[in-house]
Amino acid sequence: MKRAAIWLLAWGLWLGLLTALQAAFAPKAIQFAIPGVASAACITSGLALWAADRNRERDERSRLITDSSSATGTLMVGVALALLGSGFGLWLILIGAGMGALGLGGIVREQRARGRTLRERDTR
Amino acid sequence: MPNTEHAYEHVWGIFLPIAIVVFAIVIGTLIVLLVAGARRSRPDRRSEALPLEIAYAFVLACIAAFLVWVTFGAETPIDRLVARPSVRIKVIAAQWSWRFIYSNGVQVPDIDTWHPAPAYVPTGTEIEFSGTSEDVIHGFFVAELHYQRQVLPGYTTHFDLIFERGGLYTGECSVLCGEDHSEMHFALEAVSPARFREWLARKGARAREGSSAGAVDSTGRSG
Amino acid sequence: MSTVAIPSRAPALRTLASTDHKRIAGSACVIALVFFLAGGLLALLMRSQLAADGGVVTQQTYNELFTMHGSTMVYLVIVPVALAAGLYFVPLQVGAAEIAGPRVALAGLWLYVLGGVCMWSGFFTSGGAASASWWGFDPLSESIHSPGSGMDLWIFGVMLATLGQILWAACILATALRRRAPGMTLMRMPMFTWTMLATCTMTVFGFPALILALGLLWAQRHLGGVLTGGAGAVDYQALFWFYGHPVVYVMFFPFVGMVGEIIATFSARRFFGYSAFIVALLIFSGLSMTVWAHHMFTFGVLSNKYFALTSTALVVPAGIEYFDFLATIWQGQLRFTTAFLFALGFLVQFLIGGLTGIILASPPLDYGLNMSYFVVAHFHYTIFAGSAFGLFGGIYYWFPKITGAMLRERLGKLNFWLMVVGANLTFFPMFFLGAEGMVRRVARYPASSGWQGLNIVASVGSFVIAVSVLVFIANIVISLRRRRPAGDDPWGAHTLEWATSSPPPRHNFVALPPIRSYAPLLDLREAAEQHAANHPSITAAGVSA
Repeated sequence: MKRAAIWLLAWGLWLGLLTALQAAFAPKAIQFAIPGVASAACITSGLALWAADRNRERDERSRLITDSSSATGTLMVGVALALLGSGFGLWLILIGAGMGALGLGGIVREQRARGRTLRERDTR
Repeated sequence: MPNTEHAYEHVWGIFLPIAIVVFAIVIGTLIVLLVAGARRSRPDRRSEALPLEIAYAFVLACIAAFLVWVTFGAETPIDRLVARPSVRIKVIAAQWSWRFIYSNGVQVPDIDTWHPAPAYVPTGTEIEFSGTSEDVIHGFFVAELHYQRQVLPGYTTHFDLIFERGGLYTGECSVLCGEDHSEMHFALEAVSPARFREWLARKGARAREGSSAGAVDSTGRSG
Repeated sequence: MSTVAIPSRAPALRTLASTDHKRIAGSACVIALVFFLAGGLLALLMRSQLAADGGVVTQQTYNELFTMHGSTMVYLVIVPVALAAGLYFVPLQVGAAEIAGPRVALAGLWLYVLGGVCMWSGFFTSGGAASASWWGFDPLSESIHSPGSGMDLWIFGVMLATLGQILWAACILATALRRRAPGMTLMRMPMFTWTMLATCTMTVFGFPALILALGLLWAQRHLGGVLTGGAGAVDYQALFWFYGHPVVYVMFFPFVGMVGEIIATFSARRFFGYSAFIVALLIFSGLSMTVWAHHMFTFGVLSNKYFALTSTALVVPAGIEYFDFLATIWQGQLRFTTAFLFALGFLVQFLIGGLTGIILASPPLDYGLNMSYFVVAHFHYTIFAGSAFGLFGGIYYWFPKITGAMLRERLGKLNFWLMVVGANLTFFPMFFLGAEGMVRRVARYPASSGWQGLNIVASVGSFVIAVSVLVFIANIVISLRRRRPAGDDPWGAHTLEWATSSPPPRHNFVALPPIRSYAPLLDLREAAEQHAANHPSITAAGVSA
């Protein structure tokens, strides 16, 4: 588990190497920029994962997840409507934002229920 | 010499046979394995052969290097622009037809048709085309020369071509450009350099006689 | 292992609100099937137009047809199914109880469906659906040349669907990297999980370029001044193709993984050359992020030779992968099930696509073949005759696990052979059409070209494909109605998903077998055989996983 980050680091470095190779071919700036950003993002993610896993003990307790989340669907519909609204009018953005707020509220509820259940489990 | 036909045929003559041979080897091996290489019971348990795979990867890399060498060798002359081309032709693409403008101002008109009036070009000469578009991306594609270039709006694309043989070369627009994309054909008539100069002079004179310099020959027929 | 926090309150919402990765993936596959049929119908209309050389639809409509056919097949069918397969099977294959980030995965499903609906709603607008090809390249896709909301709906639809795909990929990546069962090191992950790891890495780091490109396009359409002139056209396509090449590998690697599992199972051998394959996968997936401007050779603006080099170099990892497939079959104990046949079909047909891809990787050849039917043939061989065959193999292989019922083998074989005939009849003639100069995206062609004959052959082939799809659907319907129970492991397979019931319970496993290699169930079986061989007086009762 601690060495999982090696995949991301290897991949990001390989992409970075191939990007740098373009220097021998009179490249335009955009040829460096796009894969360079992707390579940097991958390496950064790898480093972050390495740091996160370094001190992580294997968590033997069970994880708690929400079994059913209609709030997620609501939030996504809100996102989609707000996006569409940018093309079709403020009224649609507002409807989307409203649904998004409902969805976010639902997710907050789910998280609090999860927190309650975790506390109950831990006090037992 | 920017001979795109030679470049294509040379590379094709190497790549296609290699592709066919590779396909035959892989499929032949597969058939042998399926038919003769199978076991009734107790399948083989080996699952690694790293030295063999490394050697094989090296062989593949050599093949790839060879293919790249062939490609680079054929590509350099056709990508290059000749320093002083003897003929320059401007190509202007617009939805949905082509216009050719010669250095003396002669224009071959844009007519939206599947039998366009041909623009004349001299054989055996390096011709520099400068292509641009008035609206969207179009593709200047001459199938017989095995060559195309995308022409962009607000940008001039330069490319050199040579027409070895005389005759009519049909052209199409190869990049989707809207509703009448399939209609956007053009034609290039390759004639001897002497006939070309004669045609150019004649069309130039006729244009000067017309109402304005560089006027379009409205019938679309060559002079 | 996990416990439930909130019990489901509205049973009807189960599928739409469930955070069970298996349900999410299953819903995605059903929806993808609907989009596949819709996209296929568009293809049949296109093929009718080309066989008749005009007269079936107008040119503008034809432009909408191929735009929506390509967009549907890429954004709404193959990519979602490829990721959904990972969503379903990666947690199972690594011995996890859940996907990492279940609500994120659910969000991805919603975004996919919303994106698809948004895109297709373009057909109901007055201006019709988008018609600037599945690339949506400017300036053709700008408001002056593509007026109307169909294009905007397409842009939003693709954005939503792509965002959903990125979320799915992140979940699968996190699961493979952080939720493996004890004993499952990276180098004990199964083939399919490794291919999903490569796929999801490409998705997470390559797909955002598309969202950026589409955002710029939308801004250009409504605000202007963002993508101007030739530079704007180049910038859009540079961003698009940085996505557009990896996406075809996202539509390839998962099916390579499926084919690998299938070949290993039905050769009764563990997959050959595992470590070489993993290295090849790393090289292949990274390299495929650097070949993208081979789609722009004919611009003459970017470094053609670099992209020719990287594109040709792909033969090295691809050749290693093929070696490993063949070596797994070698000296195996073969069972020619429908899944195995589809895997073999993949091997043969993808090779045609791959070799013609190497041809196109050479600019002197690409200058003559780009934008022609040669390219159309190439990518349909890789994506349809290749990846989709791998997908059908995966379906015939995993259907018993997902539903608990076996698919009919005889109908399966009919499905397979019809599809082989259909695919080759449709797409092989296109190589010749392209070499003769027929360009793509044309609603009609000159009668004097002599191209109609081959177009008719191709169109007949497309209807044979349609028949094979009907046979497939019939197989599914019959197999679900008159169920033949599959049991945990009908195939004698190697990986952990077969160590649980069919379908698996909510949290995947009741218990896990010991994990000592990438084929834990095969290990158990071989150990039992060894034990029986060493103790002939004790009868091994067979290993139940």
